[in-house]
Amino acid sequence: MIKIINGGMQTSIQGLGRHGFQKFGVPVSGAMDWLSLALANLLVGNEHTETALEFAFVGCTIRFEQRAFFAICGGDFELLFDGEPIEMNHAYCAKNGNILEIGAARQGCRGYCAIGGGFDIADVLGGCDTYIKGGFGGHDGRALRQGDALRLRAPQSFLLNMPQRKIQRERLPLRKSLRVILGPQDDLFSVHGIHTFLSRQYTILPESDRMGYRTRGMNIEYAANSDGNIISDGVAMGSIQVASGQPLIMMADRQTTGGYAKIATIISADLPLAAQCKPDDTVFFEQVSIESAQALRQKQLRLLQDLECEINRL
Amino acid sequence: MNCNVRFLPCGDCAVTAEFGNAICEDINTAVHNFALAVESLKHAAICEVVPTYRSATVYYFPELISYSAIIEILSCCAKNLNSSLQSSKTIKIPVLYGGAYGEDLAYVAAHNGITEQDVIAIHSGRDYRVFMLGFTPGFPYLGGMDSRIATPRRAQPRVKIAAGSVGIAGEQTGIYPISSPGGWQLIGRTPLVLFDPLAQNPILIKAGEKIRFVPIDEAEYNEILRGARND
Repeated sequence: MIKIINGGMQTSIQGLGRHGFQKFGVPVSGAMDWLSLALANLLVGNEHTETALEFAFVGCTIRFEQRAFFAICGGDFELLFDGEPIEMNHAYCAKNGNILEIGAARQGCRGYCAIGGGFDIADVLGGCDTYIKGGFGGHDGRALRQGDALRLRAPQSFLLNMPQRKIQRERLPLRKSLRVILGPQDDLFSVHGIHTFLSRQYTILPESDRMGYRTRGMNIEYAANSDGNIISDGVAMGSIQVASGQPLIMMADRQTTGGYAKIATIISADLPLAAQCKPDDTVFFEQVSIESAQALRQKQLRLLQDLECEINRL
Repeated sequence: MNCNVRFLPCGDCAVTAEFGNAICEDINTAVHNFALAVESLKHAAICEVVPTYRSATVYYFPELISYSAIIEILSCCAKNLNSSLQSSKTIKIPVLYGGAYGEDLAYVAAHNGITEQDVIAIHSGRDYRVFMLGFTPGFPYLGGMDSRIATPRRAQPRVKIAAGSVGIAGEQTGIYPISSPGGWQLIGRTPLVLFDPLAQNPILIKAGEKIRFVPIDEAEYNEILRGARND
């Protein structure tokens, strides 16, 4: 069991998303930064898909009520374990009574605390992810708060190779360039509009959350025969809708369908970077081909596999 | 029926198969039959299919299949589609019209120069195609409402509309699956639950099906509510 002493800004249980129900209007939800979730799980011997605590901007404080292993990956957060600073991207062993304080983000804004063996949570509609707006999934369908008690499913009493359970992560780039594939409705934008989108910077606005990010920058021009509205269709994670000439980046809790023209979609390999973008950050969009995007994704998945081998190497 | 289909990439993990650019039953039929064909492949590389008004978005795992390969598979599925809906289930939705449960029924009637009874007869007098679900879990986008009862949204939206409320907004009719603010003209309420994530059958109305509104009285409304609570 772990007890929540302080819920932080928005801490919720997330896995890799609830799949198969978008056709019923049920959002995918799940981790904003799938790579950091997978890495944290790897460090504590979990499957990539195991649910973890996702926190944002300011993390939570938890008390361990039994022996368990944990690791935190994501942006760079201030971490105190029984008052002593500890590191991101590193597996640790906690015992009954230990207190973990996840503080403010120094870099990025989202992080994941994975616990070895995962949580004992019933799934709802095939997933344990919390859909906060809908009020279901995870722990009571809501963000965690003081007093919440979470049962651990299968915490290990020991983990092999503890010295190997740490990762060196690259610092977040200063210039946040998000690679995109144009479309599905890039034909509803003028040549000038597309050029603007791919050459100008856009600032993330405070009205941003797990559903999506509002951004502000130079107006993106629609094609002569378009006003930016379309007959509502499917919206993938990382889709960039353009409403009133400004980009809206669709994220984990986005609605399953939408009626604004989508100029481009962020590639899956860059979703982790997008997830670490916060209000006042500026971003750029860079066009790549589908083949490049898929190659980049393969590279990331191979990295995960290699790390897993490294960690488990005796 | 051979539909001209366009394949539009949505990033590297999804592709939208677009069958047209209008809200009409023929195009939507192609969408649903296509979605069924793709789902029935039970392909390991395909995650899910989301049918909408005039297109279906297919989510796939690019580490298991390349873009060109998925396009080939989807192209096959888009050929020789049936011109009628495979599943044409009609779901009856009992509705208690008017009074406290449909506060805007009188307004809708007056706006269209007909009686409240006329509105009810017209609204419940035909089947509605469920073009797609979206906006919120279980929310059905219905097509084909009679223009004789079309009424613009309320100038001032309500802060809270009860779940199950049946309303009209412009040329559209729909049902609120959850309590929410909104500007629809409310003409009645159904005691049925459209979405319950914890139920055996979480979704009452699915895309590609049809619904028919059936007028009921307050006694039947309460009976259905009581029955639902006892389940």
